Amino acid sequence: MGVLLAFLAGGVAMGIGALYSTGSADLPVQDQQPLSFSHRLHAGTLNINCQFCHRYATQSLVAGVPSMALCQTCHQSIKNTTPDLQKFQTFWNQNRPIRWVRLQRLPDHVYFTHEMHLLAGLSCTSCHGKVSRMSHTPRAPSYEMGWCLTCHQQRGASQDCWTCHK
Amino acid sequence: MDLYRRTLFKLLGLTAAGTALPGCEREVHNLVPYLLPDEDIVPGVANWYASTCQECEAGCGIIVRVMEGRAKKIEGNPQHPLNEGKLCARGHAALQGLYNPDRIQGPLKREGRRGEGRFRPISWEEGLSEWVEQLHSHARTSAMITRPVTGTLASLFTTVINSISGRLIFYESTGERTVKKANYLSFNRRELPYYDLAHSDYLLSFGTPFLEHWLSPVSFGVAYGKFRQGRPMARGRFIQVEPRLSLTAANADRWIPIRPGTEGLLVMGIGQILMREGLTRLASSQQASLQRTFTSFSLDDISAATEVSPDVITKLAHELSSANAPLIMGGGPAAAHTNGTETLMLINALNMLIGAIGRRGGLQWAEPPDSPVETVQPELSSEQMLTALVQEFEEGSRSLLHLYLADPLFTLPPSLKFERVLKQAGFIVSFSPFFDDSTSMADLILPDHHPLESWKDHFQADTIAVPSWNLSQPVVRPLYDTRAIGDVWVEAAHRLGGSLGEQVPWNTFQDMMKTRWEAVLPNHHPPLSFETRWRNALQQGGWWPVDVPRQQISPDMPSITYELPEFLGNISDFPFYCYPYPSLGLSDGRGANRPWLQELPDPLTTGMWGTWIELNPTTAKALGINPGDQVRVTSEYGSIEASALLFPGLHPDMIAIPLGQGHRAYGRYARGRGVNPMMLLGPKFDRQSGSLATGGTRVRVERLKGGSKLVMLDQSKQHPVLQRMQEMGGVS
Amino acid sequence: MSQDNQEAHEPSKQPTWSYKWEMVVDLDRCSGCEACVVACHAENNIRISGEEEAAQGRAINWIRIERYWEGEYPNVKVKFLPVMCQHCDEAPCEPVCPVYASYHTPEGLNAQVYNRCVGVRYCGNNCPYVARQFNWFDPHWEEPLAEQLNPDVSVRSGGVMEKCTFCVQRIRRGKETAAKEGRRVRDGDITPACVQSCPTSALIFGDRNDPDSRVSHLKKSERGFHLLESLGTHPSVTYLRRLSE
Repeated sequence: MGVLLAFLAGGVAMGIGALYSTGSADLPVQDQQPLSFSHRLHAGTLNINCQFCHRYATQSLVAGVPSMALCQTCHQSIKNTTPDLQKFQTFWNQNRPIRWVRLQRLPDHVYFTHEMHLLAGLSCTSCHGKVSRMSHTPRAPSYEMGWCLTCHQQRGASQDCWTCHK
Repeated sequence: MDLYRRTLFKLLGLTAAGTALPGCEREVHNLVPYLLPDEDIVPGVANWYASTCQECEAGCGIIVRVMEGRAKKIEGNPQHPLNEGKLCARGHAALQGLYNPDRIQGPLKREGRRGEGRFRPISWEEGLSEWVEQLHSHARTSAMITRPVTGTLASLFTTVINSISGRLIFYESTGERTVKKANYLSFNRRELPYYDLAHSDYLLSFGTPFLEHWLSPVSFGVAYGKFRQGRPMARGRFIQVEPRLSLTAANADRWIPIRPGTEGLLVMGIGQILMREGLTRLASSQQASLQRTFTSFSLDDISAATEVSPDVITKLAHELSSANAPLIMGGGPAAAHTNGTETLMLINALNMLIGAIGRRGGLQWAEPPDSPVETVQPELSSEQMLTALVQEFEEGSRSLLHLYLADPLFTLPPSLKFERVLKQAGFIVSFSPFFDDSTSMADLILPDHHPLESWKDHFQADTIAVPSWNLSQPVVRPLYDTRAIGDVWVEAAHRLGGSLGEQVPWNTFQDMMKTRWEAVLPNHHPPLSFETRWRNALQQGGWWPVDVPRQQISPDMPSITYELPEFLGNISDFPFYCYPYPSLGLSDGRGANRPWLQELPDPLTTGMWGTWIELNPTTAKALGINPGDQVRVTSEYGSIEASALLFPGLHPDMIAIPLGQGHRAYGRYARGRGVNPMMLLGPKFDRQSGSLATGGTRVRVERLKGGSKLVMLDQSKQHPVLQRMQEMGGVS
Repeated sequence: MSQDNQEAHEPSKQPTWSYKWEMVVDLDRCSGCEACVVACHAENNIRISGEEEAAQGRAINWIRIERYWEGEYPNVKVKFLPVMCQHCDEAPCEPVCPVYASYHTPEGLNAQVYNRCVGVRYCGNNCPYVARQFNWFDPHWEEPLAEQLNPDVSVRSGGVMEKCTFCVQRIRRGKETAAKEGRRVRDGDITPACVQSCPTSALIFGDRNDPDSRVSHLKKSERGFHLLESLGTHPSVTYLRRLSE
């Protein structure tokens, strides 16, 4: 009986674990950004360097979201022809930041630094995919440990737990 | 994945499945960009800002780690000459002052009766007008009790208070006023010497808790490390004389217990032997005046009174004379009696006899800096002077009370009747950022910023090799609707107008500071603009010369009239001496609202989160008291009850109790916790300095029914490593 | 330049250095002032347990000052000993962990991987130094105290064993800085929070693989010993005996 109970409980837990690990625990509706932003347009068509906007990637743990002022440096000379461009302008005029929905996240117990990965010669696309071909940026498939380790293994990087767990 | 395993255990433990997603509570779900990028801020990268620690009066240089606008960690400023990058427990806990959940978040006005604790939030405009109105209606009857601030803020307070014919009182319960008084009487110097412990090879300390809370504990700690192990061939020897084995004494090579209040006699005994045997390092002509001072008691009488054998006294004298660079320090319990200043003056004279004055490894006084800005640190008021203030409020010659980071209601014994000031005052304004006991009696609260949110400067000349001007700068944006006290007083000066307005022409306190700093900062060749020099000073944490010449000290010492200590309470009813000592973490109580300090185990007893009463084990046995029993300590002035703790390093006739707890207010961590041993003390003062003789009240102890809880770290440790090792053969 | 161009970057091969982190505690300097204890709390997000939890022996300290009284009045002596995780080379806590949460890093650290830990507490029971402490509940900070939390260190949830890491986050940062400059970590570059704050400089930290580091020199001192040496745990912390007159 006890064994059966443990088995059942384990099954429930596994189910929840699986949901969580694939990211499906977050409802897709949460991924709706306040205004539609196209990486395909900015990084693809316009060919803007990733680090022009995500400017902290080479010097910090985080790549950073661009400040509104940075967006505005280009957008002040672009006509607000689409509803999304007008939306952006409204945010700017009202001195309001855009609350982007966070798509890429790592749990609290993981240490990750953009800076050192770029220094090791990785490109942004190695982990983030070819965003220059994505009109809508999806939630990253998953940054699971196995996925990180495969790359660490291939490249001869450290596989010690405490390299990435804090 | 890991989550699966832990979830499994949680479910097996029949925990609700809703908790199966750990670690998400603090998850950031949105990415919010800065509107305008702050050039200084790189998300994920820390900035460090230099400032000055204001947790005690030592004035250590600090650097603060700031990430995304939040202060994360404080460390010592490695460039600062005082603390050389080091910091004490209390310095670290300044962050829990900044982020304290019980901070006062904006101006408040009293509702209901005074002391009832009901306040109504008001606007700054309303608060300022109310205060200025009160200043007008209480013309010439103002008093201000502030912690001993220095620099621009002291100058501003002085200017404003003088212009309204008020009284300005710098008060600090742990201000070591006796040490300052003795220093002034012996050497005619206002600033305390630099104790060159690092280069001494023999330290004889009479009670100074210099590794705990005395004057400048971090700089003493730095020097102590060098004293012991900083030189390849020499290890300093250290003897501590005091009735209770303090943390400092625990570090000594020898602890010599002494009958409380008789330290001066022991000093005399040592001096006698040095003179008799011709072992002094002072010209005999200069020695003559000291001869009488040191020989007014016979060695046998001294030995009987101090309970220190003549052999031990002789040994101390011989050790002092054979050391290369001996140093003597005095303070703490040695100065806690009616003869405190006299005892310390005797110690000063003994330092003169052994040639420690002005010597490397001895006492040195830096030449006061030649500066157009005043370099005198404000004189501290004694407890006796505060009792005079009580009288003035009762007579009505004082009526408007201002309080700034001083909590006399808590730190003074009730026998000094400070409560009457708070009852009699026509109006009470507090600038404290916390509801300390006194502030909760205020009529109007105009809360100051936390030191990490505001501009200040400090002049430091005590116990330092080179005098330093230290800067504090805001390292984080103010969390609440508080205002820097400097700005509030500048604004008040404008509103009061007249000549005061002309004396305070600046728009902000920062402007006032910068004007003074134009005079402080030297302009070397090639000349730099003031803005450049100012920026450099901010980055460094202030300004200090590389070195300064030492002052010459006259070897002529004043004669000293030594008297034996007096005590309140007759010996038959109150058989025990009582010594309330500042706690390592909580000090006189101001640390009690920081949970890190509450949970910091006292190193000697491992007690935390409360008060305990220390008894010698033999004494306790005679009284039938076991560890953990609830006991009552009673004096002629009051009584307190707490848990008994057997303390092997305590004079059998003494009861010792840590200070810091027993607050009536001061936030959730402090309120109603433990007891305040100040309740016991009567109005007995050091004769020369007027400081409260904290060891001057006698008490009795009785066991009450039942036990009482005292939290100790020991309880959790079944096998402390040290105990096991000791049983296995010992660690020296 | 878009991300496609960036792939042309040559991976820059970093030379690797091997480190062995060790600490020395000079008991002749230690004054028992407990600056290290609060520095550690501030750096490592150690929970505030509160009076009730502390009374049950659940207060958490990664470093504590042990004290031991000897003798009777007036011939009493008290001894101090700062005790933190000894980062044993033969750590008794490691082999008993059923889920490999407790393991030995290549740099000689005794690690605890919080997200692996399932809280069986075997490791804590097996540690002769009582260096490991268990979180009986989720931690709680009254707002806004949590603003102080260090983002470089995980907040440990209930049911997890925790312990001193030699401030691995500072080691990581020190190694990154050195790697960016293409060099080995220099002696003194990395200081755990306790070492950094210690007023008397009783705590010294460094790399034993560097023969010129201060720990390498001090370890050879004739005053050196290890805690409970006879157990054969081979700690990475060397204590230097306190001297007497």
